[in-house]
Amino acid sequence: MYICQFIWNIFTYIGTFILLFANVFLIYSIIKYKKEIEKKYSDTDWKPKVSIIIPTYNESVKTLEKTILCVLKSNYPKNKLELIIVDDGSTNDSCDIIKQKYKSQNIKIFKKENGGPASAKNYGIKKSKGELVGTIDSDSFIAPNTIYNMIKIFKSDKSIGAVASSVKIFNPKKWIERFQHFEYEVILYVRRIFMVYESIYVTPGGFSLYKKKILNKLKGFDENSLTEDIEIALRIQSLGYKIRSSLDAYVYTVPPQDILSLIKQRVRWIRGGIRDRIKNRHLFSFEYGDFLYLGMCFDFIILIPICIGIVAPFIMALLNASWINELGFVSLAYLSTSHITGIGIIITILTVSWTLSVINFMEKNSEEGTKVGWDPIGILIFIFAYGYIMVFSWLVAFYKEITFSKKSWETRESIVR
Amino acid sequence: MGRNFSLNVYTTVFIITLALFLTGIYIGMKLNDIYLIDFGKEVETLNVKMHSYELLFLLDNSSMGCDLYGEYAVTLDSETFSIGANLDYMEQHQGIENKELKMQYFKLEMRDYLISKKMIKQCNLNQSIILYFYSNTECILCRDQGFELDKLKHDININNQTNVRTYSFDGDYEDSAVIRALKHEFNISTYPALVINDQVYEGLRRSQEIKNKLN
Repeated sequence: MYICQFIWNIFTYIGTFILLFANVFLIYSIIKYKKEIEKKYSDTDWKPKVSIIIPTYNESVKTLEKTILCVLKSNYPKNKLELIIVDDGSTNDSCDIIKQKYKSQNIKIFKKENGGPASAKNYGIKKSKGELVGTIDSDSFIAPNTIYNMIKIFKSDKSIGAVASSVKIFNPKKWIERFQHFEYEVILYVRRIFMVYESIYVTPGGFSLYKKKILNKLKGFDENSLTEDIEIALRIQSLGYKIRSSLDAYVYTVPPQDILSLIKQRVRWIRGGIRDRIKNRHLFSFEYGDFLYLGMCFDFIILIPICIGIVAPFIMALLNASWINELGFVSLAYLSTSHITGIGIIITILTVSWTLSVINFMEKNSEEGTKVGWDPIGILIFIFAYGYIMVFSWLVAFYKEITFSKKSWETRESIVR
Repeated sequence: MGRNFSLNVYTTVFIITLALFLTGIYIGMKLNDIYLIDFGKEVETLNVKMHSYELLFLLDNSSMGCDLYGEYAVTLDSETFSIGANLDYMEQHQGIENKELKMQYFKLEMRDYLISKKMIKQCNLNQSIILYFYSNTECILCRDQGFELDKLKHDININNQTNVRTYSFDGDYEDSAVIRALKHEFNISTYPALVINDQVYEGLRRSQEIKNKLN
């Protein structure tokens, strides 16, 4: 047997084992911690002052207005709600129009020089007076009970530092929205599982609530990060505060509308995720318990089998070219050895169970009147296209990292996770 | 700070994963067995079919035998080729190498070769025979030679040219009396090696070159 073939076989077995391990881990956790994962929080009379910050840059009046209105329509005492809009040096006049139109409302609008989304959020934090501070993307919309449902979670445990919302796709119709709709449900479900292990590593930019004293302690968001919502979560974890994920604090967002924007978004997530983890590398320690494996490594480990499964066939096709045969790399096509076929059957069964579990979770945790129902086509597209999109995004992210591409507001799409 | 590390969860998950992994391997092996049984039946059917023709050819030396050979060549050539391709796929892509089946296949090829050789001579047919000797362990160019022969077969089929019968033999199968006998007869020691109408050619030969030799 050629040495290359042998090494390849080993890689295939390791990759398959990792994929199987991840599947078993998720299903085992779902069974073992079902109650905690599906837990909803009890009502409370506690109504702290909440500041909601909307950072904006060249957003249209219509979209911005929609976001403002959804916050104003919240089922939360108006005197306890502070709405802050931070215009990060927009070149359009949306904020001026809003200022005129909502003069009577208690909306604070600030203008500053362009500095990026994190800098706009930090500016808003400085101006805020609430005990809790929330940041919402200017193209996302919250449901009337979202703020209150998050407050209930804060009340349940004093050591909670932040609460992540339940981000959903707004009215998914196109194929690209339908598969992301399912993806977001998977993300939410996994986040709930990770919550049981105190390993949430992102507070979605779509909408999240933080204790202001913690944000002050952390000196706000990292303005140099590509994904400040991951970076801040890592530092909250590092301080020892808990992060919770809500099931019923709904936030609706409009996802990337074409494949190019989707890849751009994923590339940013990947680059940001890597950089933020490197920056907070002290978290790669057993001292942080499960967070070491789930918060710091899981995302990257799971990529190994995906890469093996997707990149490998292309390498195989290359290696089958006759000039390579002459170099001695013959018969590398050992991808589908018969043993792997058997393990593949087991992985398929687990994946189907896991998918059904997500569908069930989705049905239980959607806002009345907005239920999309289960969408087999969206799920199939997710299963077959997601891996390719992720691998391609990884390759682009890697290329951009080595060519030191810069970030800007223009490169940002809908900021959700 | 000292946060909880769920060692018991990871250990349990690891044990379950290992058990499922081994079960997967076991299922894979069982699937191979089922596949091999089915494949064995296919080989056996071909064997019986070939045997029937063989008897007819032995009985009949007249021109009727030549007509029968035409039918035989068309049917059996595609069936033998399909079994060979299946064996090759199993070996290259699925890692299944069944020595017994392979030896049985070589025996079938040998019988087919001898029948064809006799009938071509007897019926004075414009047909060529190519024997291809390869090795899976010590031959870098064998895969290329395989491609060249496939290309040749494809070209000939498309252009409806001279009929060619091709037989491939794994030279590493020294246990097989068939392989030993053929290697000895044509004095084969290196791979790839081709025997085109009883002439031996060692080393890689491109399809065009082979075509020229056939003409």
